[in-house]
Amino acid sequence: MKKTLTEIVSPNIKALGVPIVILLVLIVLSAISYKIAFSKLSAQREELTTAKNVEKVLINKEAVLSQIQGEVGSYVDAAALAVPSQNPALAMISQLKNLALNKSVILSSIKGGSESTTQSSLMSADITLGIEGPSVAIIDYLKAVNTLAPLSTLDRVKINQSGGSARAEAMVRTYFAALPTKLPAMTEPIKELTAEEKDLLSKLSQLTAPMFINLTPQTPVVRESPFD
Amino acid sequence: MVTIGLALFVIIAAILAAYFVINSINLQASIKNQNTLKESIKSLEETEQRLILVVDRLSKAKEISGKTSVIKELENLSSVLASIPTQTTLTEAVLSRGTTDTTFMVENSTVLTQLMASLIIRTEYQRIDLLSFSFNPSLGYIISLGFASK
Repeated sequence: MKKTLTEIVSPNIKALGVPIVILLVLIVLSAISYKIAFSKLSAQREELTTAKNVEKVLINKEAVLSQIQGEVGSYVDAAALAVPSQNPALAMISQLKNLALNKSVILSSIKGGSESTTQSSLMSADITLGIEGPSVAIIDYLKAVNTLAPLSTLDRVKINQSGGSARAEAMVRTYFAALPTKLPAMTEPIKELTAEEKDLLSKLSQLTAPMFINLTPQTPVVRESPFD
Repeated sequence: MVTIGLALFVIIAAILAAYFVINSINLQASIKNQNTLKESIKSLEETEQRLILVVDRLSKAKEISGKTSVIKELENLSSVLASIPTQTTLTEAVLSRGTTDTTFMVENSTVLTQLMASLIIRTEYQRIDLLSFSFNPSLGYIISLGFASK
């Protein structure tokens, strides 16, 4: 006589069969749902970390900006006078003339050259000077060019002396650069001024600034009629 | 066993759900805080613009200070002129980056010795080359020297 499968399996195993199947289903279900849940949680955790980092950057940025709010205005004046945004040749010529008066030398010739661009965004304009006076005064004058704003360099100097007076030719190269046009992204960390930059800034603020005169507009006047 | 498994499943699910909710609350709070900070930073935009300008100008100023200039050579020449004998005349000086070519006129050999003695002790130069040496009975000794800066 042939026995069926239910007859072959013992009643004990039969009793365990259903819960084991349920348990296996539960395990599989758990594995799938936990996998989904963990991936979601991990993404959320990553998002939270990014948000916290951005928040930290913003807190720092706000603190730095609030801290320098009062003093940054004076920094701008010194820095913008040292490296202006437009060709400073005329301002520099005025500075060189004033300096000549102070150092008791005569500027016998002043010649402005064309603008030139360097590899970076820095541009320059050359001014060739003819200077007359005692050699010591001329050297003193040329050394003082370094103390003028806008920043400049002395490229080549030739001094000739005969009799009691000397004559020098010097090329002053003065620099300028276009202003930055865009602000960094709001969430980008702010760059605080380093000690070295503050030191440079204090040196720039000691430069002799060009004298600018603000002309106030003339008030309208009643013109007299020439026919009356 | 099934009951225990089911209970474990529910407990873990509840913990994960709680964790999810807490993270969501923190995320919302952080985003809200960010918005407040952004508003505050927006009101400080002018300050930020100024700072960006200052940083930009400083980088340019640094670049300029690294460029060729003969200021050091002028300072050294000034120091030399202050130390040489008074009967010596500097007739010509050509200054370029790193080098200074000079021509001195000296009345007599005694002053020439004094001039050489004053130049030998100079420490600001790496080398001093004698470029030319001549004697003119009416003018005296004419010496051309090349100074190489350190």
